[in-house]
Amino acid sequence: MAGIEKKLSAWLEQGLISNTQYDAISQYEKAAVPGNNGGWWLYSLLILGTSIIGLGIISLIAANWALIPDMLKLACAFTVLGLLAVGIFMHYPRVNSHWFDVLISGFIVLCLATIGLIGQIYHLSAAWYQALLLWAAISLPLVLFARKLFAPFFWTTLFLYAFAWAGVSFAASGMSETYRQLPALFMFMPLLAASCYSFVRFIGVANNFSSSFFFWFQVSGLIALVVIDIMRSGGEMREYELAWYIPGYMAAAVLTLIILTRPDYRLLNKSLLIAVILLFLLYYHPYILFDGNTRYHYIGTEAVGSSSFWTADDIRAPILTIFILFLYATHAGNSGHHRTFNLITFLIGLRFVILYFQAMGGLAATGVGLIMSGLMIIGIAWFWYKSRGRLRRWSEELHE
Amino acid sequence: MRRHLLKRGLHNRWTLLLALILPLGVLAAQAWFAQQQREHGTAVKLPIDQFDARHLLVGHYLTYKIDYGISDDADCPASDIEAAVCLSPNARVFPWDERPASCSQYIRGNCNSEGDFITQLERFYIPEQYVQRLQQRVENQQGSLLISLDGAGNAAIRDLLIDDQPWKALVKQ
Repeated sequence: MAGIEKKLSAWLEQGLISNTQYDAISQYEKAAVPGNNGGWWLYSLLILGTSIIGLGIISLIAANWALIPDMLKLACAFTVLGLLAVGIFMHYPRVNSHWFDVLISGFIVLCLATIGLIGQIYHLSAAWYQALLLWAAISLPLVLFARKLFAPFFWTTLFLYAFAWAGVSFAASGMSETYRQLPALFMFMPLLAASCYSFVRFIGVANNFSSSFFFWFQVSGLIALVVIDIMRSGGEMREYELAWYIPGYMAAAVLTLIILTRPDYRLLNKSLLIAVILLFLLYYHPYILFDGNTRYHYIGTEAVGSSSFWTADDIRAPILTIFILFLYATHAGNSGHHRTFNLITFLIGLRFVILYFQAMGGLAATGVGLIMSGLMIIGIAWFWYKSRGRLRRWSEELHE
Repeated sequence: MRRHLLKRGLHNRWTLLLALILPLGVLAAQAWFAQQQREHGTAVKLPIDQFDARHLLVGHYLTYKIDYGISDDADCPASDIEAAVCLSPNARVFPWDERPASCSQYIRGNCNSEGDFITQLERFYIPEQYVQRLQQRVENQQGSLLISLDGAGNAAIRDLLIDDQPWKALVKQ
C-alpha cells in the first residue's frame, strides 16, 4: 500500500492525475486489499502461533502416549477438531477476519496429526505418503474455502510431495531402492506440478492453488534440471527401469494434452512448451542422447576422455539445459511473464559461466587465467544484459 | 465470469459444513474400523524376532520379523505376488488365488522380491524410553505379537507380549 501511495503522489506532482483521481484510487486500493493495515504480519503471527500450538499438542501426545488411554487420546483429538470446526463455521460470514484462515490452518494440521495418532494407536503400518494422500483428500474441500495463501500452499506442498512418492512407489512396486529411484522422482515432480497447475487453471475455481502449484513447478523444475545436468555432466545415472519413469511419462502426456487444448495459448506457445517437455524427457533417458562418456573433469584445462567434443555427455548436457531454458524463456517472454523471462535468461547466462569453468576451469589457477575468467564473466553478463531486451522483444513479436 | 459463478455456487455455509464434516467423518470411521478389527477377531499369538528400533516424526516404532513357523520349502517365492500365509492346519505360504479350501486360518499379505512374507503387522509403536528394555527381551526370544484375525485373512495388532505378558506390565515393574 505504501508503494502505491508513493506512486500516486509522484503522479499527482507530475500532473498525470487530478486530486479527485488521487483520492478515488487511494480509496479503491484501501478497500480492495482487506486488512491492509499491517494485516499480513498479524496473519503471519497467528499462523505461526497456531502451528506452534499444533506441534506442541503433537509433541505432548508423542511424549506421553503410552500413559494416556487410547480412547482419551482419540476423544481429545476429536474434541479439538470439533471446536475448530465450530470456530471456522462461525467465522465464515466475517469476510475480513484473519481467524477464519488461521482456524482452517489449525484444523488441517490437526487432521494430519489425528491420522498419525490413529496409526500409532492401532499400529497401522501404511507408508507416510499414503497417510499424506488420505489427509490431502479429506482436507481439500475445506482448503478450497481458504481466503489467504497459507493453507493452499501448505496443502499443495504436501500433496505434491506425497503424490510423487506414491506414484513412483506404485509403479516400481515399492521404494526399496530409493537412491536409484530418486531421478524418476525428480523427473516426475515438475511434470506433476505443471499438470496440476494447468488443471486448476482449467477448472478455474482456486486461484491460490494455481499460484502454489506454479511456484512448485518452477522450483522443482529448476532442481530437476540442475540434478540431471550435474549427473549427465559427470557421466552418471546409467541405470534406467521403465517402470520407475511411467508416472513421469503419464504426467507428461496429461500435461501435453492440457497444453494442446488450452484456448489461450497460440500455436507458438504450444509448440515451445511441448518441445520443452520432450527435451526434458529426453534428458532423463540415459541412452538416446547420452552414452556415459565425458570429455572433461569438472576442473581441468585439457580433455581427459576419449569422446569427441560433440558426443561427450558433459558438452551435450549444458547445451540441452541451455536449449530447454531458452525455449521456456521464449514462451515466458511471448506470454508477457517478464519476471520469469528475466530469471530464466539469467540462468542461461549462469550456465554459460559454469560451462566455461567446466571446460577451462584449470585456467583459474593462474594469474592470467583469473583475469581471463573475470573478463569472461563480465562479458557474459554484459551479453546477457544487452541480449535480454532484444530476446524479449523478439519473443513478444513472434506471434505477430 | 465462469470462475465467479463456480465460486459463488460452491462457496456457501452448507458446502462449508460438508467440507468440515468430511474429514471428521472419515477419521472417525477409520478409528472405528480399526477398533472393530482389533476387538472382534480371533486372538492369535505369533513369536517375533529381529528387533529394530526406529525413530519416527511422531512417536517411535519397532520393526521385527514375525515367525509364522514356516519351513524353508513352504515359504515365499522370491517374487512380488499377493499371497496368504496359512496358519492352520499347516503353516505354509500360498499365492492368494491358490489358497486351498482346507486352509481354515490365514493372514493376507504379499511376498516380496527377497522371499519374505509381508503383512501390515511388522510395526509396533512404542515410546523411546522403553526401547532399551524391550529390545533386550525380544533379542532373547521372549517377545510375541498378539493379533486379531478375521475370517477373510485381515489381521490387526492387539498387543506386544513379553513372556506372554503385555509390554506395559513389564515397563511398570
